[in-house]
Amino acid sequence: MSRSLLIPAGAVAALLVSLAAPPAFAAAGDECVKVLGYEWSGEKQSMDPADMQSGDDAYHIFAVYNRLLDVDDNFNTIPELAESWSVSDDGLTWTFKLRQGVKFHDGSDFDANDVVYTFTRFFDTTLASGAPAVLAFLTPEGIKAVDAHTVTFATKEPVVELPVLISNKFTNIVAEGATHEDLRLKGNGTGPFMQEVFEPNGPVRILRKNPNYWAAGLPKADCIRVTVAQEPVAAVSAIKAGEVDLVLNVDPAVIESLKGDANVELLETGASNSMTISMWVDTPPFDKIEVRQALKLVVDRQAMVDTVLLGYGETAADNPVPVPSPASFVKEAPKRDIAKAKELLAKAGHADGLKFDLYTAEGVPGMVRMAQVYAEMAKEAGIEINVIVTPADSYWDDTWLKQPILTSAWSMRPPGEGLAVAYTQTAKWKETHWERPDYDAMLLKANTTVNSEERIKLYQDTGRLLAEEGGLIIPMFVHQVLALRKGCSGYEPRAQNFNLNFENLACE
Amino acid sequence: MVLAVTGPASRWRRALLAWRRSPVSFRAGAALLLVHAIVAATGPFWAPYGLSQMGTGAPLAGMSWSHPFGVDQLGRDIFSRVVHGGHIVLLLSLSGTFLGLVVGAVIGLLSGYVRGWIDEALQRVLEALISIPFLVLALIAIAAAGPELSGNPLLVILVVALVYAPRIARIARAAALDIVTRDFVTVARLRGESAWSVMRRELLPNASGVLLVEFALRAGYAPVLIGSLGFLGFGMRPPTPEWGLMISENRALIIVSPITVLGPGLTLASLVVGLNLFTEGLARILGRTVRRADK
Amino acid sequence: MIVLRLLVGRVLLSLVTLLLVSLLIFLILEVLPGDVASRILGRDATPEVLATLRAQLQLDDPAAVRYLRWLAGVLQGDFGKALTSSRPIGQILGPRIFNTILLSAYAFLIYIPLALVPALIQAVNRDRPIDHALSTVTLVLLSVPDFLLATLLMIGFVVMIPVLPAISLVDDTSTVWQYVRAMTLPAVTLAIVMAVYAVRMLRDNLIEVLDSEYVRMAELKGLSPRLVLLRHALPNALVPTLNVTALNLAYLIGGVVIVEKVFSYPGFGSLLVDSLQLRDLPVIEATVMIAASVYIGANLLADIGAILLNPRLRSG
Repeated sequence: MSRSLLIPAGAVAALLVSLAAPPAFAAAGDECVKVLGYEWSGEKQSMDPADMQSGDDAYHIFAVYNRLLDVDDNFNTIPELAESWSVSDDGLTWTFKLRQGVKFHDGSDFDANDVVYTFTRFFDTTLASGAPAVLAFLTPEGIKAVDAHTVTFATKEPVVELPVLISNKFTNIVAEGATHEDLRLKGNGTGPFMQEVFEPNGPVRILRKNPNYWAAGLPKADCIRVTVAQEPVAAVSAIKAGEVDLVLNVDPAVIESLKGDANVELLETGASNSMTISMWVDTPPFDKIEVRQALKLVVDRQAMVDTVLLGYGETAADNPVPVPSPASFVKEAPKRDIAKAKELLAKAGHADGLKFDLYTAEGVPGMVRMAQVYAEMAKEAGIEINVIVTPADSYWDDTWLKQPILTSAWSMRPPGEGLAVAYTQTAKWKETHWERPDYDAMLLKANTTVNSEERIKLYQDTGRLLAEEGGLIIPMFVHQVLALRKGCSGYEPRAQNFNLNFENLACE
Repeated sequence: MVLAVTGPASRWRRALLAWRRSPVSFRAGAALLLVHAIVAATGPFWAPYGLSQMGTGAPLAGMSWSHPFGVDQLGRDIFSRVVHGGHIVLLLSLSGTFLGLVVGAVIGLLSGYVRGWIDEALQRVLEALISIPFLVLALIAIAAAGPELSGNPLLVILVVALVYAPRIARIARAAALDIVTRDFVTVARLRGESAWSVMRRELLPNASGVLLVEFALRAGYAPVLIGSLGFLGFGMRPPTPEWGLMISENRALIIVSPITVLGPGLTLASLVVGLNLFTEGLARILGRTVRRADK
Repeated sequence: MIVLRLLVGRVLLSLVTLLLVSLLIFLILEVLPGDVASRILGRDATPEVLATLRAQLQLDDPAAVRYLRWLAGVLQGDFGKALTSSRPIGQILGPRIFNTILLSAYAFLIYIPLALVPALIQAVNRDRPIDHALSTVTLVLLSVPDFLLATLLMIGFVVMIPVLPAISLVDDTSTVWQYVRAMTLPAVTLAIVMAVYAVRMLRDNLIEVLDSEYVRMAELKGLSPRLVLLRHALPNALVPTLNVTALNLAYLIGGVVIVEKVFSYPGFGSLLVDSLQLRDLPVIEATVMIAASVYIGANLLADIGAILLNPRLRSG
């Protein structure tokens, strides 16, 4: 008996050893640097920069295209396709000098007409891009090619932050004449990598080095192979086993298991995505300002960071501008105050409590947890919240913007854009139904004020108005944690989590 | 069979005798089920913490005396949540299966008794429903119900019933086909009794053994089905402490604190083991075999 | 002749069932909230664009017309286009089905010894402790939900002994070796679930055959017990087990839904769950039709096998 048991045991052991052993023969795409991204949602992915919706599109779009300028975490601009830029004395005309000798992947030359085309294209309403909301200061007539390598942007008011504002996630430069139908499946940019394998919602993207890339010596990697997954455990086992070189989003729940690993380096960004609870200010019971204020007061922001994010984040003040930023109107996130919340509720006529459904989905990791924690925190103030979890994949299509209160998340943006993206009257994604001409005017004034101290003051005022009266709860900002395998280098994580730059990434 | 007038005392004695004669598997299963039933009934009163109470311990704390199943990311005590979930899992499983049994038995027995084209048509529809793998059928039904109903316990019960009714109907029909050939049914029919009354008075009592085993068998799988739905995000929704959902919620913790998954997982398995042992014993007592292959 | 008629009847019935399945799915999906056009457009929907798309997709036709049109397409092998990616569904399904067939084949390979070995041990050691022990193990395994079994295997072979990947991402660039590694955990999960169903039946069948006259005769003739077991008892016990195996094939089509999802294996089952979450109607319809066809096909094969193997029917 013992002998017959030994044989299968031996066979199993041999099998395990052989499975753990390195592959006997090389795999296709093995020479690539392997990046594991988070599968944000099953949205309709696209290679057209104007379509940029979720982080899923960034994996390929930000490798295949360039913008005029890159933006760092402090919203300083870095030359990309524009080499230099200047503004006229009246502040109304910006002139961008473009890099010369740049070629698109299809071999055509990059020039000023491509820039003009890229920006005027957004004004075609059938394109249904999210760009116009954040480019409201532009008009198609104002964008002109002066010569082959000079573009001017003329505005009615001075737009001081124009270089940063036109460097958003939609404004990667496409070739003149490229239609949405052309670009959706086959990208043609000037970027460091060329599309080799891409299909919407496909399992893998392979991006091949652009041999004619304008930056000398870049990109360092021959190719990048991006796969996506949602399971945190998968990311850990993959990077530990050396199956991937870079994990772009490590779930807080598994960070502990990577900390002691000598083969893995953890990188953490500053304030990145904001997580929000957004309500419609025109719909009962949220139409009463006291109710909105009470709903903000019940949040214990630090406790939320400590559980939902396990400490990998920072508290926020219901303002898309992070607290440490000079443009923030407060120096500290608000404290929880149940008594005051109850008082406000009573004043609004809800003395005996309040009850509503809060919609959420795991469309962004942590949202479902945030909703549950929030419901638990609100309980103490007599607010009964029924958390409704819908399928993550259809959340942004079926639930978001369709329910009066729900959880959402936004990537980090400069103040002028962050305060605009979902909160002005022209915003495409009016998450809170906040339509205030005075707010829009204040923001426009901020964006057009040349004096930087005054401008910052105006951003503070705008943020304060939104935080105190708006329908937006931002309890916290997420810090992204990334894992880089030993032997790989050159990846600098950005707080704007769509702003991926694989140019310098290389592995031994 | 001797119809003796028996007092309560002898009835107890007979029950005791039957228990002693019953197979070990039956007794073990019954004991396990009893534990689950007691926990389900009394758990909410003695569970150390509330079902969604946060801050009971450090997030991700492992196994300890105060937290036998650890603490989840939100600081909730998993053991308390498992205890609070007991009655939810049991109630959903039993009521869903029971509804399926009632609907299935009525359709099956009537169909087998009436015969003819009604029977033929019903058979085809049932066959079609059965040939959609049950988990797939459940998922489609839930998707069709829409996001407003997602996580509604009634929806889960209805879905369990929808999945089981056709399968139970097939068994009931087979039993009815066998019973209708017997004399007493012919007599009843000749007396002019309606199909409904024949079904109720003659078919149902005679098919009850088959149906009982079928109920126990299906009830044994219902927690798995409900857990699978919860696991896939189509069943109960957070913060409901349904065990399958809890396994899904904590699956990222299997590296840092596997007990948070093992706790609810093994609890679910023990309930199903209990139900399976019970069913097997019951079938043996009733002199029937359990057809398990039809999952 | 009778056999032929039975067979033809059985096949025709299966086709009718399949037709009914298609009608049922169409009806269930018809009540899905929101129409196809608004789902395609999602957040981009404006009334004008919506109306244009509705007209393009001929959504304003009555349901019956749309059903027949869809059915006609399916009969020509055209399942339509996916809503999310607007690619032809055949193109999406192809690689997924290929992956699932590979996974199932691998699972069956593991399943056979996993079912045979314990059953043989049990049959030979009938009513001894090892028989009871294995019976208990199978009953417990029978009670472990497949998603839990998958998670337990993951704890074992990804976390504790890290030899296998936690997710089974494969694509057309993957090598054979990557496929094997990726498929091992999901295949083992499926194999265990299928085996526990077969072990019990196989054990009982083996015992029955071992008790039969002709095995006794063989033993009396002095054949070695091992030879008797493998040459005579096993083949005879396998015939009824084929039925379980056909049913296991039917289980497999549902089992892959959970198991592929747990391991993110890009197969048919995870496609089904994804399309349900995305409410991608044409993909849901296509995947469910295929799942039902496999189920009906497996049962048909089991029935045909039973008809052909049944001597009473054969002799008329």
